[in-house]
Amino acid sequence: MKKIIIQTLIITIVFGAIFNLYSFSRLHLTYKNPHGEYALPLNGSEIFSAIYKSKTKKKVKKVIIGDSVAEQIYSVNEYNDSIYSLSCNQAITLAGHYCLLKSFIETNKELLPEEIILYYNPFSLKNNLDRFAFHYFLKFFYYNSEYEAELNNELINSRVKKIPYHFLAKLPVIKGINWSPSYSLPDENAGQWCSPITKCYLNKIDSICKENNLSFNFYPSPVKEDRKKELHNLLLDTDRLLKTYIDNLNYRPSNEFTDQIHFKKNYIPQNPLNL
Amino acid sequence: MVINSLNFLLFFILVFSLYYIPQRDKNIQNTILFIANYAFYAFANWYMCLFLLIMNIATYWMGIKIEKSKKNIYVVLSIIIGLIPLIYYKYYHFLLESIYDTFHLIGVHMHESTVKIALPLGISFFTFKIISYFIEIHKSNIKAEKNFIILSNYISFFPTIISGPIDRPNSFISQLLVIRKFNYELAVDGCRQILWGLFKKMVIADNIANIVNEVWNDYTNLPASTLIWTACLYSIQIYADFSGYSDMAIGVSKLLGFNIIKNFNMPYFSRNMNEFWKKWHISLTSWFTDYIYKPLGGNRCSKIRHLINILIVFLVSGLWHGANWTFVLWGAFHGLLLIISILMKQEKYKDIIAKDKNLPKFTEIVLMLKVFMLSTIGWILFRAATISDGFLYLKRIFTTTWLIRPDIHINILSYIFILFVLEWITRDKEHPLQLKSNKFVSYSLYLFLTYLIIYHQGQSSDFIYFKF
Repeated sequence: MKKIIIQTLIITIVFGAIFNLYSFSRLHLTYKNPHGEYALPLNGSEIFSAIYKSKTKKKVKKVIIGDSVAEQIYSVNEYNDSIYSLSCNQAITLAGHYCLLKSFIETNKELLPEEIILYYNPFSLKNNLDRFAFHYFLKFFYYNSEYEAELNNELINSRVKKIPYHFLAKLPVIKGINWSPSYSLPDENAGQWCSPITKCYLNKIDSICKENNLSFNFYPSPVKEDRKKELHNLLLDTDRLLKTYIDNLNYRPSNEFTDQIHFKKNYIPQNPLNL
Repeated sequence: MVINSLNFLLFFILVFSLYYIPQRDKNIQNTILFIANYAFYAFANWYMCLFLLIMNIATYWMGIKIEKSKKNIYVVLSIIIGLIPLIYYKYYHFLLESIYDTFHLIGVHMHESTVKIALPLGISFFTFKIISYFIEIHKSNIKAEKNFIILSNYISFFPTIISGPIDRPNSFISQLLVIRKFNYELAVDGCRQILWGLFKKMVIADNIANIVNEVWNDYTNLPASTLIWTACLYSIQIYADFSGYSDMAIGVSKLLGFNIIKNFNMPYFSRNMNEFWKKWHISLTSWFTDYIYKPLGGNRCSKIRHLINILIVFLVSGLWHGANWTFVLWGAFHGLLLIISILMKQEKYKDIIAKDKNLPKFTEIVLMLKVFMLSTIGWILFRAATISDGFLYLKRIFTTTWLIRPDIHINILSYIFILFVLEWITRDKEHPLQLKSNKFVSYSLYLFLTYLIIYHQGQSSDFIYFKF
């Protein structure tokens, strides 16, 4: 038995070293995807495109931040001119979207846009760091020193601590692969529609726009018609930042959706915000 | 706790460290295994653990009763009692919905129950272990196990409780009666088999899953070429997923010193459906053969009766897979294929395909492709959420264009190529990593597979057979 334990340890150390080095180099390797944008060879390439774009100097009129439905409609790889999309997915929560926006504003201090649009599916507002947070949020935002100032607070830290093996997301070998543990976190929304993280970072997004004299608009992406009844609690929320959002809730027929949230390719709306 | 998770790895390291400590006392070793089995099950759901314990206790008591009294009534009652939880947990909603649908057809509307019943993990598998235990005692092939811990370890053995293989008491319990000393060759082979299983599940099955799900969510808008390609991918996905899990379960069992029944024997290298069913989900097929097909008369009866027996077995097999008419239809489809194969007097192959040759003959390739396509048609019915979805999918294959090039994912094609090449080369072995070669080649292959698992794994998805 000693033989197998020693062999296993040797193999683990040797393979581990090889893969650590490889992952480390992979994290610094960027390549152009078919759309010409830089990306890492991992799941969630739209996030890397968004991060890359948020650090790019560019004169634009409108910046869109949003979840994966926003990304379907205003693709991060296609909207690169006067309408500039930083949309990616809801797994990074509004905390991640705030980081992207702040990064863009700081990079473009002399070339600020006119308008910031947050385009978000109502169901994404519930996210308080879910089962996808390990891969999409911890690896590229929380355990990234660039965003420490924005994310190192009690609200985020207390939630991150509940994610099993969260500390592994710091390691280059884990950052450089798609692996994440399976877990589910308890709901801490206390009967409210918007999660604590959503509320906190929605206010931060609003504040940073005000500080930089940017117009901020918060719009809902289309919702599947047969999910209308589920939005009851959202409609009762009286937060001033949600008023226009709730007034603009809109629905599409259920057959246009491939799942509960996303559109089928043939049914993706073309510029529904008339930008 | 899935077998390819970090939680399982940590759990298993702990179990493995303790398991071989008792060098001579099998009772301590069996007790450690007993605790591990319940800890594993409790991780998923602690109160289902209670259910499992009750099933174990009931089986223990009923097994002794069957042995003492040789009357058939006891074994029949035991089987019925053993099946009641399975029928209740798995088929309650299905039966109710079928009744509602039937009344609905005749214009009677009933209030539908919305109560959801959680399915105990692995109930389909350990129920069959329990039933075979009762029957083997009744046939006097084994004695009723008086040691509760040993019996419980047979029923609740953690590597195989959730998705099989379904081991027989005759072969498994005898392994529990002796101390399992650490066997280096067996353990190393187990590690190799786990690696192979991880490659099949995480690289092949999980990568294909996303594509298949996307197509099935929108199949009414897609051309035949895409539907055919996706159907073929699903055939490979379900094979890689299920056989991958079996490989991991068998590998973990080998690390604990157990030899478990082989569950898959490269079924897509079959020359007819008869051979296919000797290579697919072997533990379940042999269970149905021994406990349903043969008691019904098997092939030792009239021709018509023989064919009916085959159909019954496949219908029951379909129903076992899930509480949905699609599975029953899938079973009926395969039953009919086998009946046709018998009526056409197709050859019963005994040797492996292309024995002592490197490549198959052209006719063998055609036969393998035929088996693959027939099983793919069956998998379409299996995958569909409803019978009408299944038929609509098939209809669209024959009524829409074949000329639009589907999205061929080169990376997935390359993983599938690796799978089939390695399995072809080692088709006479238990798994491809038993390939005899020098250390450099072996370690390079392990490194390459590990690289694929780490860097090319798909988005994690549940094992398909966990639902059953």
